[in-house]
Amino acid sequence: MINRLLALLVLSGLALAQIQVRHDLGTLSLGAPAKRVVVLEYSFLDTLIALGVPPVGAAIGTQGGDRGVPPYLRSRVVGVTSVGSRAVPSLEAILALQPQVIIADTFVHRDLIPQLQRIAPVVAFSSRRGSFDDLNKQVVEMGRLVGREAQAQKLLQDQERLLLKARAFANPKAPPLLLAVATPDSFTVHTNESFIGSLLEHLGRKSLAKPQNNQTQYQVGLEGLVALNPATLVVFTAPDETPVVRGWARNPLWSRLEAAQRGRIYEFDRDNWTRGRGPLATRFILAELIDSGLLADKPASGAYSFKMPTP
Amino acid sequence: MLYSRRFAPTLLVYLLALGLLVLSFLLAISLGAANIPLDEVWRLLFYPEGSNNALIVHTLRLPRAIVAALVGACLGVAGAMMQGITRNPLSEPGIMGVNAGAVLAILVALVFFPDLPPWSTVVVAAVGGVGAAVLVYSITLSVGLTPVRLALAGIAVGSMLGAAASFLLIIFEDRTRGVLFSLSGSVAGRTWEHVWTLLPWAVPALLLALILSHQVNLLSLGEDVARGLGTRVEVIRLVSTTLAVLLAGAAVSVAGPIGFLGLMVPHAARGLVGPDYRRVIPLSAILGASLMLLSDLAARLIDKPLETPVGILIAGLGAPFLVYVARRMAVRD
Repeated sequence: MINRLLALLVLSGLALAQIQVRHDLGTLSLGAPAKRVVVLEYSFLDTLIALGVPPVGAAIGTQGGDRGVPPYLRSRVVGVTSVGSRAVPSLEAILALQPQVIIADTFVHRDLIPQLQRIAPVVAFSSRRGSFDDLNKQVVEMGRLVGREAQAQKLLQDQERLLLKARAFANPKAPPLLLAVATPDSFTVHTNESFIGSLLEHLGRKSLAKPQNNQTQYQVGLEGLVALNPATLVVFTAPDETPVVRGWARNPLWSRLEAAQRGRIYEFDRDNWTRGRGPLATRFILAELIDSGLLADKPASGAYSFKMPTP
Repeated sequence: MLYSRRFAPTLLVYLLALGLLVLSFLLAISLGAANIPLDEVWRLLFYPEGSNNALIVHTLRLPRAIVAALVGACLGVAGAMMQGITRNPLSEPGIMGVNAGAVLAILVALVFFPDLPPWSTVVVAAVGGVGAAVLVYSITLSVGLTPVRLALAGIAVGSMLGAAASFLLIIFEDRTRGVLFSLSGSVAGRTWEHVWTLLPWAVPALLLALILSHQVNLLSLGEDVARGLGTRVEVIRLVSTTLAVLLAGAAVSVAGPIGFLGLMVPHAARGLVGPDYRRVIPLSAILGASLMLLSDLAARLIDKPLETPVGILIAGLGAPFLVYVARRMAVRD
């Protein structure tokens, strides 16, 4: 009897030691759920907060082109230490937090990962270039990492229910749409394989742009936009910037776009829509998607319609 | 007509160069993201009929091509004049640090004097260019003026000013976002607005350069000879240097720093029509414009639909050329 109990204890101990997180660089085995995690992308921050295990540190600095925590997430980021920008996080700040695991982006942090591995084991996921499905899989793996797999599954189930509801709003006859991020000096098309593009395809809205030279996002000029001539155009901008499209809108070609003629040019916050990429961001996006009439292919109105430049 | 025997087909060279310029210009407005047949482009050029394609040609491709041609002409002539004035085959706005000085001055104005009117950009750029040139010159004077030392000092000062420009771009990110150009130099997305910024400076300066070309000839003979011929060396040098820096500043203010074009073009021009600056300067304008148009064309075709900054492409051609010229000088010495 005692022997059996002992065996059971040993077995359960083994089971506890069997936290296995599959990621882009292999499988990480942990004896116990990670409590001190440092994350280097916003989607990882969003996911861990949604799981109720916020990271101890995150790359939420505002140096070198980074814009910090997206507005929708700001009020929920409490007690998370900044470790600098996503591109150049401070190794010293990460070391000082004594993390058990660091979650990095497979592509963005490729050259940094060997150095990070000397601080703590690194889990790498494709966040920046990942599709909606990729990011959902990462939610499960991160749930496993922090011992909240059940919550992760529940998050995804709730999300799936929301998606179903949203899909009911989508107009199946709507023409393909073009999604693009506009900054003061660039206009970057997000294709059907980007996070936001694949999320919209999931909801039944086809994306006009397909990847080129294996790039899920690429820049075009006004002439390229006119050549694509989308029937629906969605631009992601920041309220504190003057995006390049504001200047383009002065060109008569802008009003010739089919999207302009149909009144289907929508404008959303680029930090909320393209940088969060986690379960909380998805919930936020779905609400705005329905609210704006974009899913139903209704004319853009009010806060969601493209702001024409003042002449 | 001193060199008319050795460089007999001057007229032919000019005709060919003009042909090249026209061809480059037509190519530049013919190719782009939208597929418009060549014959349609050329018809739309003269008979715009309000279609999308006509608007693409007239509001996007034409201003970009004109900016590219003007920038190329300015840099080519600025290089030719600087080479003549300093009697230094390695002189040009990029190597002499003038471009970097112009960039830094524009950024400083943008960050610390954001209320300056837009038209003053060219003046600000020229002031920065003069500052850099004076700095390079005084550094070299203190160790003895030789062409290679001048170039070395120019490259060092240029790197230093470039670092300062990067510093401003990073530290005052929010304020420098409005800057027209990237530090790699490009004419992508330039509009008629940029043409009108550039034109009032570039055209008079280019014409003045033609008028001054004989004086540059005299300076290129050496100070003593020029003085012996009754030239007011200091005045002419001051005027023509200012003009060369103004040309470079005008180019930088709309396209950012584009190096080496001003080095390669005058060498090619001298190779074709001989050392007479009355012929070298106009030919440098034509060849500079053509090279800039063709490079910009290549820059947008290399990684379509992505735009490669044209400055990087020209530097790729120009850096080996610098080594070639410097080595040839060493052999001659």
